[in-house]
Amino acid sequence: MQRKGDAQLKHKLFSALKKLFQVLLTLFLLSLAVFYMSRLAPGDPLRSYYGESVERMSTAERETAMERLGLDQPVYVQYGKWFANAAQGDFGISFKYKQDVSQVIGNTYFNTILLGGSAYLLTFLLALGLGIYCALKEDSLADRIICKIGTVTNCIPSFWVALILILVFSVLLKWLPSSGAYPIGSPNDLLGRVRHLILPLIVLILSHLWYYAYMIRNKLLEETKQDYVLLCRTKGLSRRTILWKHCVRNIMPSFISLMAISIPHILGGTYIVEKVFSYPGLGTLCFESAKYHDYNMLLVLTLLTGVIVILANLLAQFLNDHIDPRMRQTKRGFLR
Amino acid sequence: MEPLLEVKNLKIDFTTEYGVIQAVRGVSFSVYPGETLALVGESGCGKSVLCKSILGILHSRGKITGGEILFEGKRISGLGEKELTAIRGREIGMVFQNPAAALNPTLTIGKQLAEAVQVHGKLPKQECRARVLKLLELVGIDRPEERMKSYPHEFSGGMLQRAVIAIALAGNPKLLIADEPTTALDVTIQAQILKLLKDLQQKTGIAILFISHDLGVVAQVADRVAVLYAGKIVESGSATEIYSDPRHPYTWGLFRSLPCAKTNGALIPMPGQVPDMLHPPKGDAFAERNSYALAIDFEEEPPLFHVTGTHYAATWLLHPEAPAVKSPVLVHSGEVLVNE
Repeated sequence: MQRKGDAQLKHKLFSALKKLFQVLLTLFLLSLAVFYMSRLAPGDPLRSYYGESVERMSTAERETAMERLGLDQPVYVQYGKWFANAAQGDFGISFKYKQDVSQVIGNTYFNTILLGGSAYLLTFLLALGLGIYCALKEDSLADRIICKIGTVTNCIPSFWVALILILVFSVLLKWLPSSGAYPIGSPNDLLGRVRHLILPLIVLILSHLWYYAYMIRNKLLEETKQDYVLLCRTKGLSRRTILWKHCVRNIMPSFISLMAISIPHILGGTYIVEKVFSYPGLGTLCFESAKYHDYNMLLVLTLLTGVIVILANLLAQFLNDHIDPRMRQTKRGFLR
Repeated sequence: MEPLLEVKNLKIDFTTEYGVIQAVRGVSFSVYPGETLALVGESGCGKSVLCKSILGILHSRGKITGGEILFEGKRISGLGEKELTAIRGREIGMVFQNPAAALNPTLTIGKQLAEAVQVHGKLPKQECRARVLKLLELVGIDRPEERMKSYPHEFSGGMLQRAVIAIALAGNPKLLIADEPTTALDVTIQAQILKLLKDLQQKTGIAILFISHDLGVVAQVADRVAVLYAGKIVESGSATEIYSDPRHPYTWGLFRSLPCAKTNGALIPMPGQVPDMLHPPKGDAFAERNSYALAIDFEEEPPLFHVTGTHYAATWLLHPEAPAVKSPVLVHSGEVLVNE
């Protein structure tokens, strides 16, 4: 018994180490790709550091400037230096803000997590509820109306919804602010923050909700047509019990994978919405750093996004393993 | 003896986009306590629809449009979902064709069995567990303590069907409906499951309504046989009567399509298909495929002619004025001996 426990622990440790290695390798490749690609993009990186004055620089001045920022060296040397520093936790300075990248990102990271995270959770809770409701009432009037409205909202571009909402609730009714993350000068005002979140949240939820709700509805309907549902009914279980205890449980793995896969999707949506509402988050920052060739900034932002995506996938796999017994990795696969 | 289950002139229609399909067109039969009645017919003749209608689990497009179903003298057709739920599992259990799909893949066998045990009245955990183990033993699953923790994908087809039977028996039903319970299994396993069903019947006295397309399989279990074609019973009688003296050309056709040991396994398939029940043909539904068809078969449906007190068939060949026709098959205890 003791020996068996030891072997299991060893196996767990080994697979955890393997996972960690995979994550680090992915991040390394991502950083390499972004590092090269950002330098391949046309444009002048000096502009982000020196602003308009770049145009008045002499050739010699330009060269000194390039040297100062370390941009004169071959790209692989630059990458080597960046990597050596990054390994010690120093990700360089932002050309535009002339501050440590981590300092500039600071609060914007939290802002994006707040907006994206709440949009994400609300979207999925509502989608699950709506999907289950529609599946229970398949083909009823309520189901049909919800399906029609859902299809329409799903087709409207989010920036347009954002503009209409701003027009109605900010300009005409003056109920809600149209931009920013908090009332100017008071970042700790909780109610103010919530008020600033409402409009971007509505836009994000409206533009994603039906896509997921419809998937859940269809998955669930497919599930209720399985043979085991018939056996459950002949056992004497009620429809409601079967739906909750069997069908919803069985679509959970696909639901969770869907949630994990959709993190980049909703995060991407957040970036656009942030831009429309001038919300000081990663999206706005990312957009600007790409526009101004703020290399270090862009790289760190991409890596951060990458970390979120990878963690989400790992989480999804972990949860899947614990819900669906068929997905559990065999102790020793055929190919290993 | 009072029949356990009585189906009287049952009619079931399916409403589709193309029109109304008459799946069952006036079927009557009874199942008595402790016996096995086999319903035999090709795919599409209404067997599965018939047994689903008994438990009220028809697809929402299927409706009982005539007749009634009585269980222990009480009408159960047209009951509400709540009353039917009380009957399912406790009074009537059901076994399905494909055991691999009939169990929820994400729950252990033990959990799904426990669910069936608990559904008609909660038991304390220990008692429930004991009952689950007893049921698994009853259906011949070795090492039940270990096996109850397995998931369906860890079971073989035969084991799964045993588990499904255990689930069907969990509520101590008086009637077991077995809808092609061996069709998805290979032949050796088929024999085991058939033996299991017979043993269970001896031990518990449960009545079985056995659905199959295979007269060879039916020979091993049935006390009485009813042959179904295009939603109607065309021949019915005791197993001995049907197997020694089949009278309906459709029954002959079913026998002829069995592999025959004497003629090197040559079998003669029946030509054609079950007619489109969207537009049921005039006269006898089988006339089109019947090489013995008389002119009247295309005009008028044959009534039931009695051969003996318990054996009857719906074919004009039994009419006193019909030409004498000899059966092309000779059957002895389920084996086809002569196949012309």
